[in-house]
Amino acid sequence: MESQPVVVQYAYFFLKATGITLVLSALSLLTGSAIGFLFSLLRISENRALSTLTLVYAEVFRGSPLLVQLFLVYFGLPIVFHLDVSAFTTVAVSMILYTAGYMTEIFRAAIQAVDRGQWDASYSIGMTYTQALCKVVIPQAMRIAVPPTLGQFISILKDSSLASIIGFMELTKAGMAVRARTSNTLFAFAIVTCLYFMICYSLSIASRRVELRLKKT
Amino acid sequence: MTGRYTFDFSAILRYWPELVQGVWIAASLSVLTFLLGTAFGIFGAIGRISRRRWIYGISTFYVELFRNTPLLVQLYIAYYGLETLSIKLNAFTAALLAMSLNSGAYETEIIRGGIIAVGKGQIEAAFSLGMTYTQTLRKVVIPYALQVIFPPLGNQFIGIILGSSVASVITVPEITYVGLNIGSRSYRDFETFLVIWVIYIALNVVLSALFKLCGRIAFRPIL
Amino acid sequence: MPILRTENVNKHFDKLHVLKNISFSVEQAETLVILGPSGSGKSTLLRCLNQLERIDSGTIYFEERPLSYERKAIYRNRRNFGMIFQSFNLFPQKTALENVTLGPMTVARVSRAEAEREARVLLEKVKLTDKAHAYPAKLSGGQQQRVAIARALAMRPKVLLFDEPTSALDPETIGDVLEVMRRLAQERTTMIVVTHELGFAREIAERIIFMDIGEIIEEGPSQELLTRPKSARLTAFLDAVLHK
Repeated sequence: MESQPVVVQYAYFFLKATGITLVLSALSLLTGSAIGFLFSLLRISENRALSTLTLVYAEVFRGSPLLVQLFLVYFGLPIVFHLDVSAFTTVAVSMILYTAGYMTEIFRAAIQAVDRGQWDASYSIGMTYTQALCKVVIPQAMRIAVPPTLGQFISILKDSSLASIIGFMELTKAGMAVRARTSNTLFAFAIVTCLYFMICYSLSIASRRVELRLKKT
Repeated sequence: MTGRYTFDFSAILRYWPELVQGVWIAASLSVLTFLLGTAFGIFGAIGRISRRRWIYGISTFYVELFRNTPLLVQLYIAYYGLETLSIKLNAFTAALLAMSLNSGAYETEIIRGGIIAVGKGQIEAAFSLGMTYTQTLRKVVIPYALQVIFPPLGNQFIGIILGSSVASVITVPEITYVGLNIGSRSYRDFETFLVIWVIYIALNVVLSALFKLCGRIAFRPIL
Repeated sequence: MPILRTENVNKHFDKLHVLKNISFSVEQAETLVILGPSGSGKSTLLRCLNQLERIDSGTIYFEERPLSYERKAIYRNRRNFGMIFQSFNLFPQKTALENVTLGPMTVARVSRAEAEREARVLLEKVKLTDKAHAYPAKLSGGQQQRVAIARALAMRPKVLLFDEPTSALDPETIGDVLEVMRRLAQERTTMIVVTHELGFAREIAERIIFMDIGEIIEEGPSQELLTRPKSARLTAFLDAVLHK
């Protein structure tokens, strides 16, 4: 790498960091969605305790800053749980917990947005609650959940920038590193801004198209 | 190092004056951000519904730029970036600038949503009565739009307070910054941040309830 | 002298020619119905009269004076007309009384006391005195439409324009609105009513203009037009409706 021209070296560096940002965000979204989906089912169940617990979880993790949650995990894992983990693990755990809070709400709202009549129709043909939920309601809820989930992914991409604060090398930290190396602040920030913008803006346009498509059918 | 961790909150609770200071800074930063952001939002919304191409273009560019880049990067640019252009802002001002521009982009869409929600019908009815453009705006559009945008603006304000935690990174002495400070001095970072966490959650709960109450009092039911 | 007259009015929406050389007139105290199927351009024509829409060519004369399109002139001209909409368009966060007083207070600068006094008289006229302090959401469609009529009357217009007034109403409540309109006709109010509902047209019209695809096909006294249609298109329209 050292023999390559400087521009190429920096390009490679930024692209690698962008890739890490994308991977971290995707991981958070997928894992957070899995947990959030589970929680949403508990949230709409008739079990008062489970419903309230998941409600509290969602309210707490959505209603507090990600940065604070990040620090809690950062300080908590080694001190309280005696776990010596990498910055990546710290960040991943924190973002997964945070995302799960939002996804719980998104899935809950999507399930409840499915027309009541679908439940009635399912029951009328003899289905149980679980059958109605799994075979009829959830498939429809998934379609309703796509636009807000895409929106959440865009949020996660931006929120991943906070990982730079505890030293994790993602796109923002890459920018800070290049800034230190080149003393050219504007160059570094401009590249970082452009990269974030390109990714998030294209996703946001794609999300709008998807939403229109889903509305048509 | 095995064995259970012993929690010790007393070590940090004696720093409560600093915590209060931090809350005060966060609150003032948030209120100012909201006010400035609303101003930007009003201009932005007017721009976004304008029929003139260049006004629409600039306002759309503003909204998309600030909504598709992280607040952290915007803060860094305001604090470190502007410095290289010989504009040296103190931490609070830099944070205010970045956060209000950021919030303004979101508020633009909220306010625009409120204006659109009014609907052609009411506006045509007002015109048919002979009302001028300005009269229609003042007596029909704005009262209705205010009602529509009140809840999302309330949420936006709470979002600003939670987002203010990021300002700690550019040394604004708000709650999170104070927390880092206390944590390092007391060697009790985890307990400190538990307390910080609770403070933010409490702020959220109280403000949410307050806004709901205000909304109910100020606006008579329309639906 | 007809109170309202149009001469070769044309209008396009992009490439679509929605009004083709429309010329007609309305006499004072007349109840004119513009009848036609959906898409015939009749609503557009009505909205051109109070200048909610701009015409491309031709002239509209009100009391034999051509309408100007200068901004202040438009605002003044609109006060000669009162419009009642298909979807009522009441102001949702104002009570029925407030809906009726808003126009006079804002536009005519009438005092609140005076405006409220007038408003109560009008609400009584449309038989809604007890609903003065109700919000539109709590009123039925027919009641909302009657409030809308009172609101339009509060500005003392010279001509009332009705754009499909009963199309969004239940059959039962149409009767209430019809009754108010009959009373207005008796009081020699000039009314232009656009509708595609034949039954309603029959009840209220003195004279009918039948429109289709942007053109005036036929016009004449209502009885005659409906029982002895001269054109093929009107015959087809009447047949389609009668045999539904």
